[in-house]
Amino acid sequence: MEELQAAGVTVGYGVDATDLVRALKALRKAAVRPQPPRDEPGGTAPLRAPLPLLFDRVVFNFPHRGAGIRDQAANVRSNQELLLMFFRGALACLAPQGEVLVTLKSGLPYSLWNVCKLASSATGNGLRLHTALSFDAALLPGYAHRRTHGDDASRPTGEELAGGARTYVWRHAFVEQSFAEA
Amino acid sequence: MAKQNMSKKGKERFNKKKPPKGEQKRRQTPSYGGPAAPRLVVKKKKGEHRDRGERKKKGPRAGGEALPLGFSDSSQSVLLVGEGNLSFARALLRLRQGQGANLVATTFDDEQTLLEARSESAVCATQLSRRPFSARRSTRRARPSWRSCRLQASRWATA
Repeated sequence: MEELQAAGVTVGYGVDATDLVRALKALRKAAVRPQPPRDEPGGTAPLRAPLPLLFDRVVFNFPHRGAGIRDQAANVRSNQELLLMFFRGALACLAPQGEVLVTLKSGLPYSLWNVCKLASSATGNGLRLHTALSFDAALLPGYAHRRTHGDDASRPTGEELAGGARTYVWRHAFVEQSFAEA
Repeated sequence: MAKQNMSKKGKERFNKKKPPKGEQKRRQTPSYGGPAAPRLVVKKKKGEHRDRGERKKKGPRAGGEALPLGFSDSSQSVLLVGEGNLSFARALLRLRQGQGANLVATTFDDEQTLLEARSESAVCATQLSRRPFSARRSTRRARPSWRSCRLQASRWATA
């Protein structure tokens, strides 16, 4: 966490993925607020870069509501609602050439979520699937997968993701359209 | 032979070689009440949805490219949603060589919960390393329970 803040990364806590627009507004407000001066004499707080209005990439890795519903159908529905609201929020803050990335574990029950179709239906065909990539945790230095329930530190990331995971990439539908025509 | 009083267009059509039977267009619905004829595959315009067709052939599992594609470009602004322990943000930061100006990481948990979770896992890890599996003790005793770790963490937090 300190590493992130030292590098100038904006970290937002308590952000609800179903209401991205409001969360970003709150973050922007917090960024504008003048910060108290540092303890050392003559030093002031470092000026942070303003939050971008639109993002080139909006990433949601392993979304899960963690509702703990036993009934699988209800659980899938709950998570689909989460993703639906996320896609709407993501579209609102996506740059014209931007991409939305969602990573899911492959196999059941995640394949039941039907994310590919969900994205286009949630945004009224505003998003179109561009491609799907394989998620390789070995290429990400220092990445540790955290489970939704019962974070077990003794379990390595590789074992957790042994079943494979896919990253789906969406773009604005009009951008995809122009690619197809070109 | 083409008839004498035929128009030029008609002659052309008449003289044109007919395609073999297999290639002839099949009717969409038969006039009799038999089984429906197979639907004709309409050829799409050049370039239209071509990549989608290719993807279908490959199947969703195939695909040589892995995720951190183009993520090392630090000029891109990236919004991370639902970061459980912020480790993906850390990984991205390392890929970008510490350039985190355009990076926004968000998490559902508040700061306190994250700190607690981290201290818990840290306690768990230290306890695990301190008390390795020994011959004298059973494995069940040697491994601290989750509850004991939590208790220890809360003690440390208050101390």
